[in-house]
Amino acid sequence: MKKRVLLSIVITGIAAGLSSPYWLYREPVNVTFEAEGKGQTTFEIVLNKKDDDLFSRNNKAKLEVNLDTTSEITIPVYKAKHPKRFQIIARQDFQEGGGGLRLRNIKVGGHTLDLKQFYANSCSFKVDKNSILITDLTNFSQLFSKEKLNIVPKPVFDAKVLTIILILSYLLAYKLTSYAADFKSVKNKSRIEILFLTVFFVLLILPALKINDEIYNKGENRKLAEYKPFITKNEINYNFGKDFNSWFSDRFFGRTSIIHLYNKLRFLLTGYIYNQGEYYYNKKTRWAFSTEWHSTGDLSKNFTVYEKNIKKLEDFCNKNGINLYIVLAPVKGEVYPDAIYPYKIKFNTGKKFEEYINKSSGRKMVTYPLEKMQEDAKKEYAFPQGDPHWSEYGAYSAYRVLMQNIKKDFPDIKILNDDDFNIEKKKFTRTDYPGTYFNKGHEYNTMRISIKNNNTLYPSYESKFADKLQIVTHDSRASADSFFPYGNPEKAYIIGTSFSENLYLFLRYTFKEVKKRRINNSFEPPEFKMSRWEKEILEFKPDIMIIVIQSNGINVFSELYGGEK
Amino acid sequence: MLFSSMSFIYVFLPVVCFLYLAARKELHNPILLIASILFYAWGEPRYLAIMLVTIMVNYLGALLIEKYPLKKKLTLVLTVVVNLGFLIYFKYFNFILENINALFHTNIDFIKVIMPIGISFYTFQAMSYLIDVFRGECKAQKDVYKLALYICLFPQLIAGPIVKYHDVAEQIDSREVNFEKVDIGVKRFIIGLAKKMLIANTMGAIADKIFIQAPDTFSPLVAWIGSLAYTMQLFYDFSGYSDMAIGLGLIFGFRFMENFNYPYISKSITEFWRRWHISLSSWFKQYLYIPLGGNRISQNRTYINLAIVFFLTGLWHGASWNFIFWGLWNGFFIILEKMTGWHKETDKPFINFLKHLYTIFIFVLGWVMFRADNMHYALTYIKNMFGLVKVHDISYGISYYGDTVEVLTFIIAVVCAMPVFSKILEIKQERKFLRSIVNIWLIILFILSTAAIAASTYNPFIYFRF
Repeated sequence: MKKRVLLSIVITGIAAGLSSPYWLYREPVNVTFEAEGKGQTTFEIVLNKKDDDLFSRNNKAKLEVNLDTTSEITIPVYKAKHPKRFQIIARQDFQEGGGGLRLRNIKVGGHTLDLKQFYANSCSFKVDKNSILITDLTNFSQLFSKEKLNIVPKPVFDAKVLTIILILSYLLAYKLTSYAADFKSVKNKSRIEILFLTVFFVLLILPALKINDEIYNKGENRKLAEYKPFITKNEINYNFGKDFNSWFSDRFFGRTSIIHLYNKLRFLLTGYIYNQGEYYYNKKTRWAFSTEWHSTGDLSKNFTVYEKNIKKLEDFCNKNGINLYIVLAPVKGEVYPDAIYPYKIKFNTGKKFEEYINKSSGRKMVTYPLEKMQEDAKKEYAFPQGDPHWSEYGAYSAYRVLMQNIKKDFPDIKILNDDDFNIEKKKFTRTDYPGTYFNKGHEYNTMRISIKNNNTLYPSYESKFADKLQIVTHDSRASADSFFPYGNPEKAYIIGTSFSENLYLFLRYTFKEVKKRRINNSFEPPEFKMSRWEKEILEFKPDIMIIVIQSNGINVFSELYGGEK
Repeated sequence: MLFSSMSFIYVFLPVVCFLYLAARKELHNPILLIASILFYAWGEPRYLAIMLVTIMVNYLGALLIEKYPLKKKLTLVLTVVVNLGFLIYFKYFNFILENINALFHTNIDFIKVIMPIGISFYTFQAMSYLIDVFRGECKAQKDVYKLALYICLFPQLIAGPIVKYHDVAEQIDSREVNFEKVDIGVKRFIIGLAKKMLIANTMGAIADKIFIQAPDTFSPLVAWIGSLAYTMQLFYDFSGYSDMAIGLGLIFGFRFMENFNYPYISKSITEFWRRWHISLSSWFKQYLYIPLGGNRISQNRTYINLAIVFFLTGLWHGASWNFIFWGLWNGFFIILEKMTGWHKETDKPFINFLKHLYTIFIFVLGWVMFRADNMHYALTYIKNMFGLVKVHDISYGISYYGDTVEVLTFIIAVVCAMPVFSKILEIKQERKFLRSIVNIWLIILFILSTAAIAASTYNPFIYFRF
């Protein structure tokens, strides 16, 4: 009896400790701001416990409001003990070219945030004197603040809740110990087996205990699967099972940790080439590859289809006084064929494509800068070791070759050179994100493994006239318009995949006016159809159009005017 | 729903276990039936209709057989035709059309049809019930819910074992759920899950890398690695699933027959088929081979019967000629063994060693046919294994196919394919330390298997992928 009482007291103590956030907690951190916009809008506040951009340890709060004009909004964030960083997510059902949202006077726990320290991940915004304007509010507009917070909310002690927890825990613990004792004596089972089954069934319920309600996963760089009910709008969702599995698999409790643990274990056990799905990492050379990143495959049998569509595009350009250029970005394995052992290159589709199209067009329409990049790669990294995209240096190398080809049609054009930039060596930053914000830990993120002590430095290019550049970004497709007063007078229109991003770093300082449009991003499926951009091109009237596709992706030319996707 | 999915293990299973173990005995069957229907409908709700029709047809068929004994043969034939009709339509119709087109140079369009998951398994189970009633080995089930439970019982619904009605009829009516059964069931489930997630999937990744390439673009060594990896993948995948099914059955009080008994230690193909997919081979034996006359008529007739059985065994596995050839390949060696007496036991170690090598050789080559997309691929692949193909355009070096983890997994796979740990779940109560070690190891395996499932859901978006 004494034993049971003692055990019950111990269990009660543990229960009281575990439930402490309910009886000993901090006051909520109130986030207040003025919002100006229209429509049903959901605001989500995320306060990060650490002073970093990852927001992996956070407290959140949500509020849905129907905005009409200007609304005063207060969102209390509970359990935020000592928040260090702030993030706000605004959501509206996506409408192309939808209205904007203006936020003013953002206060966290009474402290007014410096709006100049905000940056965005998946939306475009401008900062005025005292407000932030999200220019095109989409279904997912995420703003971060770089400002380090120093807020410590007051503690609150709730004696009533503690009393309830203590009494109920004791009664339950006493009953449970009694039940366990009966189970042992009546059933006469081995304690080892009882313990085994208990652990198994506890493990069985753990993942469903807490469901991650994040919309976006930064580590995976994608939106997490949403919950889709079995019946929606009087229609049965026949994919409910699959949808539910995707939703649960993306959001169960402890997912990130267990994946990290598993991959770490496999990584430790790997001697030479670590393989994860389609990704490979050579532990000796420290280069990461995937089958896609390495080889282009033989696409030459479809050249006539691509040529037909390119001819149609060229006709459209000629009709409107536009010079068309195609940049075929070499894939990583073409530039570094020896960096990872198990592969051997078979095809050189890029070269064949360049020759084929240039011959049929009678001019240097296609630029495939493989040789120049291979040569330059002997001096610096043309590709980061852990990312599929070319580095700024690699893109610069390609830029020089492209501009030489453009110069044949525009002899007066000025090509940027080293003197136009401050070149500084930095740790790699993901090419898809603005370099300032993601300067650590992301290099090998696609493999969900962390490789420490990787201090490889890559050249970074910053224009000497960076302050003269004006950029307006539009929507979640990572589109941008830039204006640079010292650029060449020609107007350029760029359509490209993620490879266009680093090339754009140079092109935006080359021309007075540049519009960059992305084919693919993490929110929508890739769509390479001219109908998406034709109207805008006719209005913009560019002199130059540049299409940026990597050499293993030229098959997309088959879908340029309809056709297969 | 798949056993190796997060939603099955961590949502469906705990909910069903809780309801089942907490409920009164009378509620056990209804809970299992609802759970089984939900389990089946999870992936593709529309195909539930076919399963429900199968249940009703067999329910009525068996009642009619019992009620009108004079017309029982006709009823049996009609009901079997309906059962096989579904199977042929969903599984073999396009294959038949393909062959008609090839044979008569016609151009008949294929039908747009997706094969309902598990149809081969539940159709055979349903026919087992019908034939048992026809033979008078058991009575027709008056309770349609009980028959429905037999046909769609979720632990063995999708990938077997094919439970024969006379084996479980009593258990459906009354069965005991006790601590031992739950304990062993959980352990079998974990072992099965680990076989699937940690061994089969690792071996499968190697095999996939090789079989995805043209069969003349890798070296004979790589061809052997591919066939051996696939040999391991298939065994661990299938036997893992069977283990999970048997384990789940035990949790709910059922005892299903064992489906695998270390087939890779066999010393003849005859013995191999006594150890591999036992529930299917015993189904064919009881419901086809013996009714055809078995080995009682004449030697030649025995060979013909064996050829028929293995032709149909191949066809049952898939609607493709390579499955048929694979079945006949096995049948051919069984007949050959019967002719020569090669399958008979001997106590000479060297002869046994040779017999073992021969068996491995035959089933490994057989699995190449099983894995290949078509027979042309399979033949070129097999030729490559023996250096009979001019290899060109080798794309990858040997280390592309595996590193330490894969080699380690292969060694574990080979060791565990032998009865080294066969008594792991039968350790005596007194050996507490050993039991504790086994239990801890099983929990680790469970966590690792979950981690492997979770890791397979890790799906980073790479902009480059375009």
